[in-house]
Amino acid sequence: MAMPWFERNLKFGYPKEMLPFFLERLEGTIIRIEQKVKGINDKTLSSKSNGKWSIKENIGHLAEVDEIANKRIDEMIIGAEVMSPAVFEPKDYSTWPIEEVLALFSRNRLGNIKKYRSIKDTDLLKPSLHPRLKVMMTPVDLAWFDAEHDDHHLVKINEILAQFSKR
Amino acid sequence: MERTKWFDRKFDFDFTQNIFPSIIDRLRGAPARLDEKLQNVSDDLANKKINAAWSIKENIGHLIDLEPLWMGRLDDILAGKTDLRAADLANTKTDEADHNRRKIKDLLKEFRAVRSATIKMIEPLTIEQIYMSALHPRLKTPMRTMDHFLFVAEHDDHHLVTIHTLIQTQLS
Repeated sequence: MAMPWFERNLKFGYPKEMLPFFLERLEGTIIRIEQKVKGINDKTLSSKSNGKWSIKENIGHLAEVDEIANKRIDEMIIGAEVMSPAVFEPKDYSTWPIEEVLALFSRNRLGNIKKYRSIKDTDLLKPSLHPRLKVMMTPVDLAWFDAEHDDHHLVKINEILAQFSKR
Repeated sequence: MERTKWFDRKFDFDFTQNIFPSIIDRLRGAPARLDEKLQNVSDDLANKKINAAWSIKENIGHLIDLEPLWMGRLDDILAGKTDLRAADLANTKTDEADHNRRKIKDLLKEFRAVRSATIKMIEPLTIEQIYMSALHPRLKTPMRTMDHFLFVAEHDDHHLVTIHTLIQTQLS
């Protein structure tokens, strides 16, 4: 079972030469999610079990987090002291067709990867404060952080799918 | 974009929290990521070697070649051995396998099969087994089952980036 995300102990300070690997992970999340939801009926994808987020909401949340990440990258590059706060409750994606939720995530993710690839070498290690963790984070750290966050929600999606397969 | 060489990589195995479910999902995702990356790549392009380095097919073949080592090291940890078995750092198996004679689709199919067998083996591991450890022969550091498979996931990413770079270089 996935441990609560807010309890994760995370260390930062990655060298800029690790960014290509983190971008590879971020890009890979798109196909990993698509494979998970392929052939799954809409009822399962929209269902909220015990008040928890549905599969669509987990994916929509990742898309919303990417919008914040995009903003945070700009903030780090211009030298903002503190980055924008995170998003928490996702919109209600249950009424959206899964294709549209996936398209939103894919669009936001590819946009962020393009932005990461365009960052000048000298800007890659510019730090700003993460508002919740109260630690300094660079664009390279943020890419790793978001890749770990992706994995957390992919495990959450696995758990929902496993619940349904038992029924 | 500069990237860290595999043998220069630093690993932090100090974390104590159980993130094994995330690691398993990363490992499970590697075949789909490879399939996606190679869907429009021809066998000819995948055979090409640049500066005498491995071709795309050889990189995939290398991932297949190493899966028995990963499983063997799991056996070492679970058997309570003090040291993990050594890897062949010269990668003789991959150099001699002639992966270039095979079709991409066959290599991808085999990687999916061997990885699927690995996932089947590690999914049922208990918490105690996840935290058992043995010494890594090159890094000279104790590696728990969880660390070992994090190392494997990172190794996957290393070769996915290499393949990505090979595709980009050849297409440009």
